[in-house]
Amino acid sequence: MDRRGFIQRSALGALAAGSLPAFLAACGSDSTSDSASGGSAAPDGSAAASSAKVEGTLNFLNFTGWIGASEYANFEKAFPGAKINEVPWTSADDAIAKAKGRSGDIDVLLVDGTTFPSLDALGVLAEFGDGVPNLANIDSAYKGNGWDPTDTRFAATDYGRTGMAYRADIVTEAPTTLAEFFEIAPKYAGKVVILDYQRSVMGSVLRMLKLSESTKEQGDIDKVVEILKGFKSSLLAISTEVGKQLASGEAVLALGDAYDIYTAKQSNDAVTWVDQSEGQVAYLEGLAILDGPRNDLAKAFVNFHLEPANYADFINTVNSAGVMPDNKVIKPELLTSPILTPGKDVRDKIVFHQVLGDAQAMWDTAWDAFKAA
Amino acid sequence: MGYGLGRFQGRVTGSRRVQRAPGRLRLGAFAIPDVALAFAAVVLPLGVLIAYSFGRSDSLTQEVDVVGTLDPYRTLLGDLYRPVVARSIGLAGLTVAMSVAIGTPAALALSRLSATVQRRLLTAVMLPSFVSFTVRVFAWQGLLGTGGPLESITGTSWLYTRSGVALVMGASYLPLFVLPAYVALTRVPRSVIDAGADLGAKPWRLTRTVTLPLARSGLVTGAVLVGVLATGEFIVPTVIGGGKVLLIGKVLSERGAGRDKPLGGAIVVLLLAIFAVLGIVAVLARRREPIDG
Repeated sequence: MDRRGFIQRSALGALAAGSLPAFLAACGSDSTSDSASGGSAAPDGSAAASSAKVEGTLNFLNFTGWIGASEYANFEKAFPGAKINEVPWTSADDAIAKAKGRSGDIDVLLVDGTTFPSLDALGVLAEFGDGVPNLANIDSAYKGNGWDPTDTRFAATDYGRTGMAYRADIVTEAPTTLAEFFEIAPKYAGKVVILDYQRSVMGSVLRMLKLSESTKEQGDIDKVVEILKGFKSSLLAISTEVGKQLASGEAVLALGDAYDIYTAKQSNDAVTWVDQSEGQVAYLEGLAILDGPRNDLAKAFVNFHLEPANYADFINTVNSAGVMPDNKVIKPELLTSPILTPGKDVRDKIVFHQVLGDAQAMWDTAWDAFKAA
Repeated sequence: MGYGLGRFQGRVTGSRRVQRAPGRLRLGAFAIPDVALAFAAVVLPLGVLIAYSFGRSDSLTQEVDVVGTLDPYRTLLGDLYRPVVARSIGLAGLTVAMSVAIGTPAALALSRLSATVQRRLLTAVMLPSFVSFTVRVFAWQGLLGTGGPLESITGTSWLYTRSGVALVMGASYLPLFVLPAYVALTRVPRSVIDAGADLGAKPWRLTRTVTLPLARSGLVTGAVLVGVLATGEFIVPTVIGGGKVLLIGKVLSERGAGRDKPLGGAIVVLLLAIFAVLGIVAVLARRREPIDG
């Protein structure tokens, strides 16, 4: 199952009963492994935090399961008296609402470049100060982002780019550009899936059109909607389970996230990933701290997460593209996979999602117009 | 001093007004927490949502400024969302029709079985409700999809199709109709049915002219319940329909509940208006019921 499917299911589950996310969360936190316990029990960075008040229960707003298999247990081992309570992430809007009202008493949350500016505008973010020395482990390519140019409140953890995928045993053409993808889609009508995420899909089309992936121009958006509407008759689904559908053969052509397609390829080698030559869009996620009474505990956790052994546990668990390409504790197959760890030529053409501001309503309307067509 | 003593004091005075007022007042006092809770949990949030529907949302902080604009309603009733609203109501209507068509004979049959069998079957009907709605809908994916049992019977996958959505909607909401229908049908006096039979009415005519009219309030309540919930449905179209069909519940959950609360407020007002109409239909059906079961 892909991560956004996970998110979707958690959100739907929370609406319906509230029990499923908790169950999944429990499954995640119960698993134990010795893989990172030795190195992470006394990480370098924890020394800085150890003199501070590192105790109590930390509320962490996170995608369910989007954490190292042993990380919570190892953190609690490294900091006796500290506990992690994972609060299931359901949507960016929910995260903003929780941050604004401090509901759930959230201390740390996973954010990206589209959510961070909202938290910034609300004035709820805390600075890392010198409490997170392991920020130094993050590759410079993922620092100095537009939403936090001085790296004082956002610690990048992972990213995911949107690319094309197809079943090499069925699709005879091998698309190299998104334009070719749209060209061959009608031939495979009813077997084409795209991600149910407007920023990924519309952003990719904007890149194909050589326009800004975060455009605020109505004319640009109209062009995108026109292309998507024309292509809709070929679709099987606007999906949160792109990888699963490709692996099963329900779909043969897709626009999806790298980590999802990587996982699909593990179960079916015919699943083939393509980085479209027009360039790609991607989310860049990271941790941020909400200003509050447990800032020291929060800093200790962020620092712990960025300690190489713990970070490797995270990446090895979730199979995502990471922000520490030189971390040798990460499984070699992840570091050498062109899907998860692309070459420089591909990386140079990646643009991270930026906040849309007032143009968000225009994007929402356009995405709904595509879905309603 | 308790409620009983209050009544006693009333009797001593001999005044009807004085006799009842203190007791009523004290009894009414017990309702204050309930009324306060209902106000805090239902009326107040609803009022806020309605107020939001006349506001503008800050794109970054998502804070709503209630400025008295009608823009959210213009958006909702504009060219983009009007067909979405119509489609949502249409799907809800189809779900109600399926529930009534399948649930009425089922409830009727259920009401005529022995008490032991009734209990067992009723448990079977209600049992799925103990599982999360979302989990049940995801379970349908396996039944409808490629390689699933339905494909092996019909030769085609039902997943990501409108037929699949209709099927799962009907199946998911059926128990909500069956339960009130069953309760109403069991309350139809046996003596009235026997009298009809003694007068020579055949079973079908008895059912059509005696049993179903007497159970009308339960049938309408079940239909309204299904209609209300199905109108705001978005999980089934998303999971089973593959997200290709936009419904108003989806707009509410994705956009209206978060960054565009004014639009969300307008959707809530529209849904409330629809539910109010359905509620009035249910009340009228009760009033027209010939015999109080």
